Amino acid sequence: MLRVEHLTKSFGELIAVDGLSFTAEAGKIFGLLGPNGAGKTTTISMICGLLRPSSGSVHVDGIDLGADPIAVKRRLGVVPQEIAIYEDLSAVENLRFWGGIYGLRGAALRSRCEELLRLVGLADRSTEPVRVFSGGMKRRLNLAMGLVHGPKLVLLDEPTAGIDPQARLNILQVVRDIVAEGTTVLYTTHYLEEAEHLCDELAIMDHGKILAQGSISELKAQLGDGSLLTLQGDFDPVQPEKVSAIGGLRTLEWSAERARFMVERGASVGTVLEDLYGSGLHLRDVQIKEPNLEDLFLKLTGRELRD
Amino acid sequence: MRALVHIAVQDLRMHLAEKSSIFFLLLMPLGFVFFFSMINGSGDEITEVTVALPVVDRDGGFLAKAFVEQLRGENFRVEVYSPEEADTTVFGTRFVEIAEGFTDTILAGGQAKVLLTRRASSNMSYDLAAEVRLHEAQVRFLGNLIRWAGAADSVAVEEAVEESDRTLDSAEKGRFLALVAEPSTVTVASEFAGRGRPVPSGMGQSIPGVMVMFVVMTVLIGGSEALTKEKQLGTLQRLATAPLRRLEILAGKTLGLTLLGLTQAAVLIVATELLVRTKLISMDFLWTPHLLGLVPLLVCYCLCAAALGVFLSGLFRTTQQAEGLAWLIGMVLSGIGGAWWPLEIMPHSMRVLGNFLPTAWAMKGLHGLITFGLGPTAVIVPCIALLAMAALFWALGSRTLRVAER
Ligand SMILES: Nc1ncnc2c1ncn2[C@@H]1O[C@H](COP(=O)(O)OP(=O)(O)O)[C@@H](O)[C@H]1O
Ligand SMILES: [Mg+2]
Repeated sequence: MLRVEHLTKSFGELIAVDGLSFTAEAGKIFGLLGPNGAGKTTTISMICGLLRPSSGSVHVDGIDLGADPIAVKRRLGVVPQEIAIYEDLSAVENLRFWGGIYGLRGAALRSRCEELLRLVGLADRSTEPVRVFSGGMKRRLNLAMGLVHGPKLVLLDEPTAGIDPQARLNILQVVRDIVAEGTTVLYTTHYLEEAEHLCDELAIMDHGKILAQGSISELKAQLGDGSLLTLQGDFDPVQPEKVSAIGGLRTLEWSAERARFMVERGASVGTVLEDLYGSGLHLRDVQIKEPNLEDLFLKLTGRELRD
Repeated sequence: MRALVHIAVQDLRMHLAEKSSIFFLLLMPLGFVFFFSMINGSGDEITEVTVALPVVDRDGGFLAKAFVEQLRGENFRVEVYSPEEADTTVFGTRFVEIAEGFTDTILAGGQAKVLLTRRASSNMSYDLAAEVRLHEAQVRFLGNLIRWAGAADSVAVEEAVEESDRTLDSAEKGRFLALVAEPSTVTVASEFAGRGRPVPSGMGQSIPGVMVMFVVMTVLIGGSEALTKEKQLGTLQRLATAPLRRLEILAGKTLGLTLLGLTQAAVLIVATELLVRTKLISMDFLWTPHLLGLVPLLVCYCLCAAALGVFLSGLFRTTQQAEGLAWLIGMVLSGIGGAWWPLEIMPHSMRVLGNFLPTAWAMKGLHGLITFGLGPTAVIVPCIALLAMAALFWALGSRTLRVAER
């Protein structure tokens, strides 16, 4: 449905998106997970024609964006990260205007608007000016406006950023609903849990590059199916080389007060801990857990997703 | 195309839905109309004007006397001064001088001189009237001269030409003076046209002025404020994600502003026409007889103002900037464009500048229709000028107002 190849965007010196390639299958949710500034919005902006790629190509439904942008845009629904709605209009007026842009008129437009307002839970507030809406309500309307013409591919740019849990649940449910009807979704987020629970396929990106890509289970497999060991303590006098010599242990992070290790499958956590004590570590806290995407991000970038 | 109109209509609705729009679109311009109506007094007491036209007769010959007779007319006060009297008189406004040897020169077949001198302080429209009167007199005088010469005994005239008028017998002189006194056989119909026009004044200046000013203010302020806000909110960029061409979006926005300007003009036209018909104000003209020229002129003017608004809003970053600067630009355009006072009384440099301002062309068209009564064709040139400027502003606007990266 969506094929992105070697997509690059530079702003002067800065390469915001650097050779991105991925394919979103029809009827699936493809996620782009990355911290602020990773290049998610820039990628979305290129796909929907707001930014001209420095190089690379975008195909939607087999149509080249560069060759026929209008045909591509007809298939696209865009939900921008920054809420873009007319504050002085009501929710239903916003939707009607937007539907009219896509050529919807009369009864078809009216019923479509009603349906969407119900879907995002704004039916009973539909005639109030948007100005008085809460952040969550505006986000839901922002989402509905991207869906009004029943697009085949919906680009959602952090649709749940900074809103109340209830609105978030509603939005996530709407996304699942439209996917169940056959819509393809490109979903960007910096929330790990969201990506993990929602997306069929995920690309983890940072500094404009995709670091890892695949289904959630494929990505987790990249961590190996060992256990994650997190230690708090006083590690200053201990040489990291000494620790890395311990069998079955891979260092992910090493600082004066904290260290993280991957204990490979087959190695015994107990033995590893004994060895660590033996190397003269002074420990205050020990955690053992199954790795998640957070740890994958950490492993790939050396830093946490949430700073 | 449908989407373009859809955008325009939606924009117009949003502009009109603003709470302040009733004030700016209706109340404020009507306040101006009442104000001007008051200071212009009631228009139905038409004051008879008499133009002073003193004549200094340095010739004293019978043809000079005959020429003076031709100058006299209903609205002209013609007093004759001898050269001696003239030396001790100060003419405050203007005076005509008949050069010495006027009669002899004409009889000799030469070119005689009549001079109109005007003081800088004198009223320009009266000066123009005097000048026109002088030309009329000239033509009548020549006509009579030809009749007289044709009927005269050719020998006598030839003699007179060879010698001098002193040899002409008094009968011949009398016959010429009698001819002059007859109702003129040559009628000179004079109308103001082309350059020597009167200066628009009274309600004929102020009401079109109010309209030109309020249209440009409403369109520039309303338009650039709304568009700057849309840039900031991202709704403009969002439009660019829809299957619309970039120019379609810009055209929709321009059309929306054009409709806003036309609404402003229509409100003023309907309101003033109603006020005049109900005798609440008096105006020395009505709009309705001029609709044929008025409509195309206003369409072109509003289009031009809208394109300027789109261009400017591309330059503004914040709505505060847009409000302040658009207001300022609107005021300057109105002032230099002749909406506050006629361009005719402004310094030459300003009048030249006026050729590059949409407001000035709109005023030209309106004066052509209302003050000069030139009919619908008077708006052709202003419309062309306005459309050319609209095209220029639009070309600039499509560069400044970035909807999406090209
Ligand atoms: N128009 C722009 N001009 C210059 N730099 C930009 C522009 N848009 C984004 N950037 C930069 O590109 C990088 C990626 O930004 P963005 O795509 O917004 O990231 P994300 O959406 O993942 O938070 C950031 O460093 C940002 O500062
Ligand atoms: Mg972003």
